Amino acid sequence: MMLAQETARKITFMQRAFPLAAAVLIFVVTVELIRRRKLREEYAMLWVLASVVLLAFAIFPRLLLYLSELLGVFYLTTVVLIAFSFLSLMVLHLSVVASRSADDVRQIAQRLALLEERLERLAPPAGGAEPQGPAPPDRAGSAGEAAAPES
Amino acid sequence: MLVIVPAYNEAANIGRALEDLSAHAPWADVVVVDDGSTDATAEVARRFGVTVLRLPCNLGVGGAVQTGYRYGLLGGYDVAVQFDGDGQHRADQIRSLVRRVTEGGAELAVGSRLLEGGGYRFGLLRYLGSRLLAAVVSLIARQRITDPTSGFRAAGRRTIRFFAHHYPQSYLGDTTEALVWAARQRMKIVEVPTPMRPRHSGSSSASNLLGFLHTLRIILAVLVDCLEPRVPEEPEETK
Repeated sequence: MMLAQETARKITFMQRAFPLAAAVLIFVVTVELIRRRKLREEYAMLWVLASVVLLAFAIFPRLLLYLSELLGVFYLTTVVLIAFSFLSLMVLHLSVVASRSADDVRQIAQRLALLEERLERLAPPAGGAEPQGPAPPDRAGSAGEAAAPES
Repeated sequence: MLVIVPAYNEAANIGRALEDLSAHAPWADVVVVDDGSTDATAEVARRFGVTVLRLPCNLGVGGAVQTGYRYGLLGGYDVAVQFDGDGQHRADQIRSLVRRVTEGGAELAVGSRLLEGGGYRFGLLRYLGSRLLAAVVSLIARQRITDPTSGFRAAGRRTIRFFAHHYPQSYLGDTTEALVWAARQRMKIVEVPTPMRPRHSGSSSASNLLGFLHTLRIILAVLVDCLEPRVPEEPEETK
């Protein structure tokens, strides 16, 4: 399918409505996530930028066509490929971030386990203080009541 | 001497492993690393009066074992033995493993199920997989390795320090990768024939085909390891 052919054709309502809806949705969700502080600022900027670009193309579909002519891109597959590469890079970046986070979590968990053991050894907890935080599901009725509880 | 027992949901088996240890290696300090178990593993272990390190979340065997090595480094132990909490390893074999480190000058002694005297049976596909893996690891280590996946090992001071700082985290491949890492640090590695028991309950590393696929994955991981630069080791600190 060639974009040049489509330039001649009139862009139908559905062709406009669908990307527009998608762009608006992404934009709204991004803003909402930032508002609820669920998204860190560095990723927020990335997604805001992406949704603004998407929104711009959705509102002015001709923009995409001019751009493709400007870049000398005629085939729709090329456009798809460029978009796909961009998304791949973004996902790759997130994988790196996730790996780093997992590494941090591991180190923190290991330190916590070591410090907790040391704390219990140096200062055995008095009385039957229940562990804070979410306990594993089936610990409640287990035989470990007499064992030193951790906090 | 320290025995590191990584355990994840092993409440049913860990008692037997700890009994075995107190019967055959009563001189050793034992540390159980509870890898975020959801059952009573930690409570059962505590009843045996051993040290229990509770990880707040499940890190996988690699993360658990490394926690044990960290504990060993902090405690200034000369030898640390990795011993599975599932009852597969035999505590009466620890002595011969440790002797290779304390007297034989080895920096890592690996208990092998397959060296003469080990006598362990696999299914065919897993057998082929394990042979292939052993061949690849032997090539990298430039010495004959028969059982690279064995998690029954004794580590000397240098190895404890190295593993406390660098330990592979890959799922089910950590033992093999740790061996390759140690080999790439030019550590002195020896294999010792150690008979092992089949597991008491639960399933360890899945079925035949799955085991074979895991093996291929481990081989890939090991080959990737060879692309990584060698790590500079931390100098020994007197703590």
